[in-house]
Amino acid sequence: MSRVELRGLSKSFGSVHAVKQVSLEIPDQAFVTLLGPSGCGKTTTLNLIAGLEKVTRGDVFLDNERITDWAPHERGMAMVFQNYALYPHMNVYGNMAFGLKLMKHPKAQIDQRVRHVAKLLELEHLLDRRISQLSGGQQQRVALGRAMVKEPKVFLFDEPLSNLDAALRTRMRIEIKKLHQQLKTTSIFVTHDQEEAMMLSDYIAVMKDGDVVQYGTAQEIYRQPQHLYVATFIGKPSMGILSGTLRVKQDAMIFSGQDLQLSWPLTGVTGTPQELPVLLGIRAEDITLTTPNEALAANAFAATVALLEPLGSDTYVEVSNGSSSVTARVEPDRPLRVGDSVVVTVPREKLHLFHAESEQRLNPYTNPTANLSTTETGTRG
Amino acid sequence: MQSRRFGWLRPTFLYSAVLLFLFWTLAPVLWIAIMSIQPEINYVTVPPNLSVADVSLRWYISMLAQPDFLNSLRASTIVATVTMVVCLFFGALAAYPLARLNIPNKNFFLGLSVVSRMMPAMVLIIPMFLLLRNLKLLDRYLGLVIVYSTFLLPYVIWMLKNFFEQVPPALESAARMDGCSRLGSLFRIMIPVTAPGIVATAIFAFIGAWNEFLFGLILSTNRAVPVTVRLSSLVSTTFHSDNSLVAAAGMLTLIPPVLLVFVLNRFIIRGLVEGVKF
Repeated sequence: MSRVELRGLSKSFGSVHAVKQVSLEIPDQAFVTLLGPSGCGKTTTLNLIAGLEKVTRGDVFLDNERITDWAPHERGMAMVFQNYALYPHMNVYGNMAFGLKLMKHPKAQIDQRVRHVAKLLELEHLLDRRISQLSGGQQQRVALGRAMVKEPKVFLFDEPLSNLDAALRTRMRIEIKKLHQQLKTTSIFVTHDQEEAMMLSDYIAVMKDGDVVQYGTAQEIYRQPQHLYVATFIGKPSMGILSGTLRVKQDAMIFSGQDLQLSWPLTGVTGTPQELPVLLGIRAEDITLTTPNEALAANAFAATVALLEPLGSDTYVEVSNGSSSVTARVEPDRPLRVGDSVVVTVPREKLHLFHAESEQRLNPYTNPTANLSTTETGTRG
Repeated sequence: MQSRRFGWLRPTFLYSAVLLFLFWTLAPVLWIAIMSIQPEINYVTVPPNLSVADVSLRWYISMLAQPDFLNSLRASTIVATVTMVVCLFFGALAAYPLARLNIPNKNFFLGLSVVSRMMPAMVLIIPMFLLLRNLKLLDRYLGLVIVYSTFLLPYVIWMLKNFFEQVPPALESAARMDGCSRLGSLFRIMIPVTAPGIVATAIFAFIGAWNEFLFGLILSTNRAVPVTVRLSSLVSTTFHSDNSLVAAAGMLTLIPPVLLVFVLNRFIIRGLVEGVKF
């Protein structure tokens, strides 16, 4: 059992509030990622969990025990750092054994643990090497090994893959995932790479300006972003956004954007209909592109192809009607050319609506313009 | 084409410049070395009349037979070594927090630490003299160690601070996760990792103390006379000093620092040129 809980965790550096009231529950054996751009407070949050930074307000719990004031090494956590932070004056063995030596484990036990982990990570032949003699990938594995020999309750990863080249990063990502499946140790992983987060995590906490904007499974984050920020940050290519107003009229939901109008049937309208400034989001794979014919469906608009990005497996098509543009994903063999006229269909069940000011998600299945107060508060992880 | 045809020009120019520079710095030493093994009459004439047949080590032997000179060599070696150790110990303890901790007005303290070096040494000599006299430390090794450390410590702090700052903070975070205290990570991680820089700083402190003249002259009279002061007395106390003797004494005073640099050569070059590498 190693369940980590953060309650109203805050950290300020002078007048800068790096982490603001973060509350998260990290279940036992889960792999949780703190995801966000640089400067969003994710590494600071990790340092607070590790005890490397002093908490300004709030608490950290490990298995219901308050560990907020414990020294880093008393918490039973191990950390893998971005630049590996291996001790350059020791060899691989020395690096891996250092923590156990300080914890005064018997020599035989240290040796047995180091060799066991070295075998697991295929580092056996490197144990006598100096750190400067290792490649980036090998250093990464030593850093992992140094954390593993301590048999910690929680693994903390601070962007451990960002210094590796693309191919190696993908490979190490898989290795970390396999390792987690094998060891089942609760892990907290910090990254700015959304693909990495999606691939590795059971749960993702998307952070922005020291705040957790949304906390949920990878699918929830992708399929039901609760905030415009999450919607545009997650997914590749970025979600297409059209700005306009939304109104409800005669069981229909009508979106009026710049030079376009889309409408979808709406049943069971409640509340007072009103006009609402909104941002309409649609993912590339949810857009249907067709060739124009006489009748334009209510949930479609005419546009022209502005840019083609063939990727081999798919082709991304940027379509524009002059003032608005979105990206669609089509099969690679679609004979499209820049300048072609197309019809862009936006299915109702795939669209995302956000309030233009609060940028919180509106529910497109009921009347999104009613009952504003619930959407204002939104959902926080 | 152009660059290939004249490719030899660049190295030739570079090597010439290096040789010229070496000659510039080493010529005086070479000349003193020659003086120390030749009778004076051979090199005071123009042009010099150096002769292999006249080479002799008798000036060295005569210097080494002088108890005063040997005492001074010992005094300087002890004072410079202890000064070096004191400066490194306190320098490391001061440089570490300056490099790593968020201390209010940090730069003010750093600036303050070099104030004593901003005024001519002469200004401080009288107060220093009175201070040491009251402490009964005149003409004592300890007195010189205290005074030299006062002047060298600011440099040592600045140098060590720069070396410490080059160590990635994550290295210490890792040490703290592994169970090191702040002090533990200073001694187990910072100091071993910055060893080349620390050795370079040590040599700097040793040479600084070894070469000091002015304070040694004023603060010591008999028991703790530094070798630099003794050298000058060789020149000034005799009506006509034997220049070969002075040269031999000069060569002898070169030995301890040169020996130190040779022993630690491996470190000093890495420390000064590369800093700490990761």
